[in-house]
This record gives sequence, structure tokens and C-alpha cells, in this order.
Amino acid sequence: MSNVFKYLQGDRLIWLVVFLLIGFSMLGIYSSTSTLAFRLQGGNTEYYVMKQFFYVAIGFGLMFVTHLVDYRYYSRIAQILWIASIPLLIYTMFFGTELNDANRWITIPLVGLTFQTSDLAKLALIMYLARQLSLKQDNISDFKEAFLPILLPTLLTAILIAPENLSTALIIVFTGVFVMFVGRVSLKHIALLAGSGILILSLFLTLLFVMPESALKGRTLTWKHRVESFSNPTGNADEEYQVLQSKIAIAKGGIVNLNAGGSDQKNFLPHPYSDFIYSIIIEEYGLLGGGVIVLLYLFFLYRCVRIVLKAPKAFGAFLAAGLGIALVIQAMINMAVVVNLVPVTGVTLPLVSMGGSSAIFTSIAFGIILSVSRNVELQSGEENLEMA
Amino acid sequence: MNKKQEIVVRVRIGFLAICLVGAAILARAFYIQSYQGNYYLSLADSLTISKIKLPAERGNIYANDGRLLATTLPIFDLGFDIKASLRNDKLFRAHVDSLALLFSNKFKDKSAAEYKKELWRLHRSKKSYVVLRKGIPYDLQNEMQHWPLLRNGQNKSGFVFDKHKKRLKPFGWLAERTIGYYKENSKEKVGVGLEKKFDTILTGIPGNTLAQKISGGLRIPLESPENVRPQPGKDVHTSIDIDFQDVAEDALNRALLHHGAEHGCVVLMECKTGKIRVIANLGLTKDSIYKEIKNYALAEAEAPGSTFKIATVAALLEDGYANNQTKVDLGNGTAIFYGLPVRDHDVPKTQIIDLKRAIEISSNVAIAELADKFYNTAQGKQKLFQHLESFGFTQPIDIEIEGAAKPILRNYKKWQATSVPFLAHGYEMQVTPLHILSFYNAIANNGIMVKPSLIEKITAYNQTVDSFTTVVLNKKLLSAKTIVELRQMLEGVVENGTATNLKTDYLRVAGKTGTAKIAQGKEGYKKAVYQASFCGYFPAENPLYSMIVVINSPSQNGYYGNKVAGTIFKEVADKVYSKSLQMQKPVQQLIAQKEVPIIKKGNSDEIKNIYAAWGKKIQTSDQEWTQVSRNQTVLQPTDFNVKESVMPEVVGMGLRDVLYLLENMGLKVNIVGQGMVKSQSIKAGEPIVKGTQVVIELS
Repeated sequence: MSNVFKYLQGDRLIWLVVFLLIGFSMLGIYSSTSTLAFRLQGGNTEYYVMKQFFYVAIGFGLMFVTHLVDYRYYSRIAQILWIASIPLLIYTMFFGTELNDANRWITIPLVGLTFQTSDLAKLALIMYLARQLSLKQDNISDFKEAFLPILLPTLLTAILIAPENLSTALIIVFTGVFVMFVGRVSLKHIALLAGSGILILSLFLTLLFVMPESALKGRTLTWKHRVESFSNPTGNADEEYQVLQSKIAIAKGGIVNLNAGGSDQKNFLPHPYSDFIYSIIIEEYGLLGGGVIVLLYLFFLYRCVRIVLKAPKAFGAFLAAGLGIALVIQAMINMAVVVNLVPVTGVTLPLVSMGGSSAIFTSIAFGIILSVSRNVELQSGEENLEMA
Repeated sequence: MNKKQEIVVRVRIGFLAICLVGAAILARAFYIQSYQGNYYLSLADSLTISKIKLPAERGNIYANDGRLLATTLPIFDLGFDIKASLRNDKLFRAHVDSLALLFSNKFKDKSAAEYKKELWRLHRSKKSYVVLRKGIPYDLQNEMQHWPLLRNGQNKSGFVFDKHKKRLKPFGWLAERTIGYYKENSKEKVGVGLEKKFDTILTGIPGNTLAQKISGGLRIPLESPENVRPQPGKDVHTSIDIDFQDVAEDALNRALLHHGAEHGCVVLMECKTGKIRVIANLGLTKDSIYKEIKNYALAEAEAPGSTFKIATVAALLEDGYANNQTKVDLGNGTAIFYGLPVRDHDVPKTQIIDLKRAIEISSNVAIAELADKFYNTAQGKQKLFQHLESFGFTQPIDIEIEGAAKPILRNYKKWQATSVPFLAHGYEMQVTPLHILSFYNAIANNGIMVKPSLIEKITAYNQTVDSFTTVVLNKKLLSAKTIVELRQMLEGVVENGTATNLKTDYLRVAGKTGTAKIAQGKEGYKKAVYQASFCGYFPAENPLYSMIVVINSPSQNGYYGNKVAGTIFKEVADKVYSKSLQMQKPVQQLIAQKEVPIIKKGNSDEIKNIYAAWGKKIQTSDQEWTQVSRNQTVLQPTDFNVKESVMPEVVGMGLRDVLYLLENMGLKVNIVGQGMVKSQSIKAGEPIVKGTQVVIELS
């Protein structure tokens, strides 16, 4: 083990969390893709696990490379990446590849890989926010000098994602505001933002329900249906099909269970290997297994908080905090959907859900956090904590 | 508080908040498990496992040679789930154009643009589900399920194929009404014909199975001791001969069209067994075409007219009141009975004729006079009634299908003075065509009256479970003497009476024409509406089949029984004759009559065998090929030498031998026409090179 950690630097416990999550991911995917494998791959049940393993391997490679890079370089990279993400998002909106009826994907030329641009944009934005926050620390309470330069990139990215993926856009805004809160942005400004956000959202919802269905374009109708089905939780067959099936999976799991591959609900849930993998995990490993997943994410966030405490520079602290918060918030939202605390959104469970794009960008995020932690460990002996 | 501390405080607050969310998630999961657990668990089973009914395969209906008259096939309706389509708006937008084009190309009833407009209208409409197209056969569904949108399935595109079963009659309208139909819905059960009558036998017993629903709307059956396998319905084998039926139905349709008639029917019955081989019923529909809409043969009672005279004569003969030679006085062709006139069609050429001749020319006056003379007393009426009763004219025909009409023949106590002379020639009463046929069949069957029957047997898994053997209703309906005399009269009708148009030199038919003036609803007899009929049997000397043809209300091109109905009778009788070996003279007799023909030149052994079958021995050498010629009356075989690489004389050979011979020699044979070889492109005796083409003309 210690040999391994000669190469894997940074917080060993974070590495451990990564390995455990990937382990759960493989178990869940192997089980839940069986129906899909029989339908599309002629019964080759390893097909999807091997495919995911390939992505995880790439992700791991990227994680390894990114964690060896000095995190200070990420400040400049963040700026470039975020600026580059803007035209990419616009391109996706118009020329993206259609998957599950939304233009969320673009295909990388030559390689032929498809990836979700919002994954990239989100990563770039959080990194860029960390940069902006660290740069504006001195006059952070100034609306014009600090708040606007921090807020506007967030809104821009969100607005470009919103038409095709409203829930991700909302999550990005929420995550951004959360990071701003940690970054000492004035509470007054945040309250102002939250107030106007709620106002806009309620205005939008009103519009959605006042306008006739025939006038609704694109995905607006899907949004309406999702909100409708969540706001009418009558507790009977009226509930949306996948939520119902998810609850049945949770109910079947019980408190303690060990039934790897024995899920029944994977046959009924529409995407048991991605958005609803958490319900399959609960069904097969009980509430205890589900609890382990929650705790792994919280523990990971706790390690990120520790990095913040130790980080010598504000940028490193915000980078670790921002990316950690973003990943864990995404995880929490995914799990909240599964237990029907929030409406169905379609976000994945980081490192656990099947999917190449998500696996790769999540790995990069982890790599960057580990890079900060590696630097913190290197300097911890040498320097005292000093804020920029 | 310095910046660092503030950040630490805020990060901790954030971490705590997220921890609370995590706790909320687990609490919620725990709540679902513990407080709602039983509910969701019970829901799981009820949603996924259910008992489904397995309908039994409906039995088939067969013709007497085993061909299918009615069977069940899967058929599909294309439905459109609009809610699902809306959920996948992008998909619909992307493929609606190509789908509209495919629809248009396949169905050719609307342009692609119209289909597109229609699909868009439905996609935007408030409806939740519509059926786009009904009755898609299995083959087409197989093709269509690969079309865009259609291949995505109900959950994705909203397009869905709804499979159900359809009853199909492979022979279309042939005996359609008799085969019938049966429908059952929540409100009522309706049906006619064999499908209705034998429904309980055809239906079988449905079974059931436990099935689990899985994603994609599929159900997989589960093993369970409670499962009951369905028992398929039994098969009904009818007596109908589909080839005869085809000829009859076609002839009837042409005759109805030709005469602009209202409706008509043809029934062919096997004399000995009473098995009905043909039952064709066509009536004029609103669309001015004829269809099997009513079982006229069974369900329509009408005044039979002249065909009924045979029943009166049979009574007279049985009671000894008359015989073939009994003289009758036709007067001037009109006789008045108690104030009502009975007229003959023509003024008689001879005033006094015998009864046989009176039947041949179908004299109304003669029959009315004789009946009036012997039966118009209280006792006589009773006697005549009893005869008619025994002939079956007072009861509905007893047959396997429903709908037999009750004949109208008043009890003799209610008869008036005019009743007897009018009854005698087929008025003041109504019977169905099957009544008349049944009676004539008894005459053809030497006085044995059998029950008409449409069914041969019922089978299950190809094993007979119920056979319908012939039921004799009356072993001796008429005396042998009466039969002989009646047959002479009926033969006379065709020999030199009203139906000479049915006379042929190969098949002797016996029967009686009928041209009845029939009442037309409220208008009574005011309007001249006729019913032309012909009932008889064949071959006259040894009857195998009896048949009746009835044409109702012919409006053009004549209305007489012999022309209108007789023509159909002859056409069907000819077809039956051509297919029935029993009726035809043995080959030996033909050989005795005719010269042995010359056979095409060909293989020696084959030619020898053929002549041997004709009783001629011919001597051939051991050459492979022989040619036979006739020298006066003697058959002269000559060898026909075939040398390698030399073109033989093949004119006069059959194609099979030519191909064998020439292709073995390495020639490429090109054939034109059919029949015997007429000419060859390479002259006989010329040397040939392998691979050369030779043109063989046949004629």
C-alpha cells in the first residue's frame, strides 16, 4: 500500500474514497446493465463494465497527471478553460449531438468521443470562480469591483446551458453561490441574488403553466411535466414511473442487505446504471450500503475542508473547496432525486454512475483537489499558513 | 475575525449544511423503507406480477377436401400515443418527414405532405391516443416495424402496434354467409352461420398464466402450479366442395347481373347422404353489387310455383288417382275454379294430353284440374295435406345452422275451395328452396328422404371427435312405381319439355322448371315480379347429385326458369360432371369406340408401355428412340437412329425428350412456343459441334 502511495501523492484518504466509489460503481453497473446487455449486446454482460472500466482508466490517468501539476498553474488554466468553454457551449447549443432528446453533447473530431460540454463548463467555471475569488479577496464586499466580476461568469455559463439542460444550469448557479459564500462574498449580495433568483424562477414557472402546451417549445414541456409530477406526490400510481420504481427499489433493499446483482428493479427503472444507480445500490446493499456512499462523499468533503484549513494560498483553498463542494452537491442532488426529495433532474452520481464524459471530468476535478492537497503537504512543514 | 478565520467559519457552515442534506437523504430512505415499505413492496408485486388470460386458438372451418374456409390470423392496428410523442418532441421532428413519405409510398392514399400535416396535427392535438391505421397484416407489420419512429417503440416515439386476432376467410365470399361470423363484446353476441352455431366447439377453453412485467412493456410468463394451459378449439369440417362452390357462386353472380335480379341461391346436395356440397346465396347490396348477405336457400320462403307440381303429382300417383298416361283436358289454356282463373302460359297445341306431357310443358291447368277433381273434398284436402306434410313442407328444414324459415302452408281445415287447385301448382303457400330440394332429392334417392347436412365431422388435433353420419328421415317416402313415373316425367322435361336447353349428349339431367309470380310486400301481385327456379338431379339414370337454383325478381333478359335458373344449373352440373369420375364412362369403353392415337416420337420403352395400356402390342427394336406411324389400321414402329455428333430429326417429339436428347449431345436448346416440336434450326443429318445453339419451335 505504501508503495502505491509513493506514486499517488496528496491526501491518501481522498484516494481511498476514489477507489471505494469506483468499486461501488463497478458493482452497480455490472448488475444494472444486464438487461441492456441482453437487449443490445447479445448477452455480453461484461460489455458495459469493460467499457466503463476503460473510461475509469482514462479518468484515473488524467487524475494522476492533474494531481502532479502544481495547483498554481490552474489559475491561468482556469481562465483559459472558462473562456474556451463559452464558444463550445454555443456550438453545442446549435450543432450538438442529440442524445436522449437534448443537445448536450459534442463529438470530439478524430477521436470520435462524445462528451457533455456542460461537464467541462462546470469544471472550468468552478476553477475560474476560485481564481476570481482569490483575486478579489481584498475588496470582496465591493459590488462592482468584486461581486459582479465573480457573479457574471457564473450567470453566463448557466444561461448558455439552460435551454438544453435547465437543471444543470440551476445546479451550477447554486454551486457557484455556495462557493461564493465560502469565498467571503458579502451575505447582503448573496441575499440579493437569491431574492432576484427566486423572483425570476417563480415568474418562469408561472409562464410555464399559464401558456398553452402547444406554444411550449423544445424541452420546456419536459420541464413542466417534471415539475407537475413532483408537485403532485399523491403517494399512489400517479407518481412518475421512475420515482415509483426507485422507491420500490429502496423498500426492497431493507436496512441491511447483501445481494450483489440481485436487483429486481433494474428491470423496471429506465436508466438504472446512470441517474438511478443509487437506488440499485440501496436495493442490493441495503440502507447501510446507501449510507456508506453518503458518508464517503461527506468524508471526502471533510478532507477538502481540511485542505482549506491548511492551504497557504487563498486560490488553493477555494479550488479545493469549490471543486469538492461542486462534486458533493451533485452527488447529494442525485441521491435526493432517488429518494424523491427533489424532482427528477438527470444529474449523475460522480464516479459511480456509468458514463465516460462524467467519469473523465470528475476524475480531473479530483486530480486538481489532490494537487492542492499534495502542495499543502509539501509546504506544511516549511511555511506557516499565510494568507495572500 | 481575519480573512482566514472567516473562510474557515463559512466552509464549516457549508460543510454542516451539506451533512444535513446527507442526513436528510438517509432519513428519507429510511422513511421509505420503514413507514411506506409495505406499501411499496405490495405495489411492486401488483405492478409487476399479474394473472393474464391466454385465449385459446379458435378452431378452423374446412371444406370437404380439407382446404381452409375460415381461420384465425394475427393482425395489427397502428396506434399513436401522443403524450409519449410530445415527451420526445425532438425525435418526432427529426423523423416525421421520412415517416410521412414511407406512409405515402406504401399506402398510396395520401401524399407525403398530407401525411406529414396529419401527423403534425395529431402530435399537437389534445388527444392522448389515436389509432392511425387498422388491419395491418403480419407481413406488412414486419416491414413497418423497421420504419423511423415506428422502430423506437411506444415509450420513445409513441407509435405502437396493437396486435389482435382476425378471423379470415381465405376463399372470400364463397359460402360466406353459411360459414358466417361470430362476434362477442361486452354488450352482445351476434353471429350467423356455422361460426355462430359451432361457436362453443370452435372457441376452445381459455387458460391463464402468471406473468411478470419488465421494462419495455414486455411480460414474461412465470412458472406456477396455478397456470392453466388453453385448450384450442375444435375444427369443423364442412361438406362444402370449394371448387363446386366457386363455380356456382360465379355463375350465380353473372346470372344475377345479367338479369338484374334481386337475389338468388344455388344448393347442390349429394343424393345418398344429404351432404350439401354447394350453398351459394347472393343478394343485391346498396352498393349495387351482389354479396352473401342472407342465406336465402334456408331462410327465404316463397311461393315455389311449378317446381311444386311434382309434389302434387306425387300425391296423385301415390293415391292411385293418376299415372303417366292419365289424360288431361287443357281446354283453351284457361280454366276457372270457383271464380278464379288458372292460366297456362301458352294456348295448347293439343287439347287432350297425358299427364307426363302436361308436366313436360308445365301446364298449370292440368295439375289444377286433377287436384281439384280428386282432392277438393273434406277428406281429399286432408289426404293432400298429409302428403305434403310427409314431404316435409310444414316444418322448417332441420339443418346445422340457424335461421331456417318456417314454411307457410295452412292447415287443410282452413282451406277454401280455390286452395286446392292453386296449391297444386305452387301458390297459396310458401316454402324455402331447401324444402323443394329435399323433396326432389328423395325422388332421386329412390324414395329415401335424408336430412340435409352441412357438416362432415368435428376434429380435435386431427382426431375425429364427432362424425355427422346421414340421418334418414323417411325410408320410403314414395312407392317404387311412383318414383319411376316421376323420374320419367322429370327426364321428359329436359328431353322434350320446358328445359331442353339443359340437354347434352354427355350428361343426362332430370328436373323441373319453375317461374312463379310472387307477391311483392304490400303491393301484392300487382307488379309482375317473378321467381325463376330449376330443381333437379343428375345423372338422370343413376342420380348422384340433386340441385336447386332460384333467382328472385329478374328484371331483364327474360324470367323463365329454364333460361334464368337452368343455365346456372347446367354450368354447375357440368363442373361436377367433369370432376366426378363416377359419372364418366370408363376408358375401356372409349378405347373400344375410338382409334388408338399416334403418340409423339420418343423413348421406346415409354411408347411400348403406353400402347400396352391401350391394349396394343407393338414390337420395337432395342433402340432407345422409336417413332410410330400408322399403316392403314396397323401401327408400325420404326427405329429412329441417333448418332453422335449428328443432328437427329426431332420434329414430332415432345419437349421433355427433345431437351434430354439434345442437351446430352451438348447443344444449347432455345425453345419457342409450346406443344410438339414443329421445326428445328439445325437440319437433321448435319454435323453438330458441342455448345452450338439450336432453336426448337413448338406448336
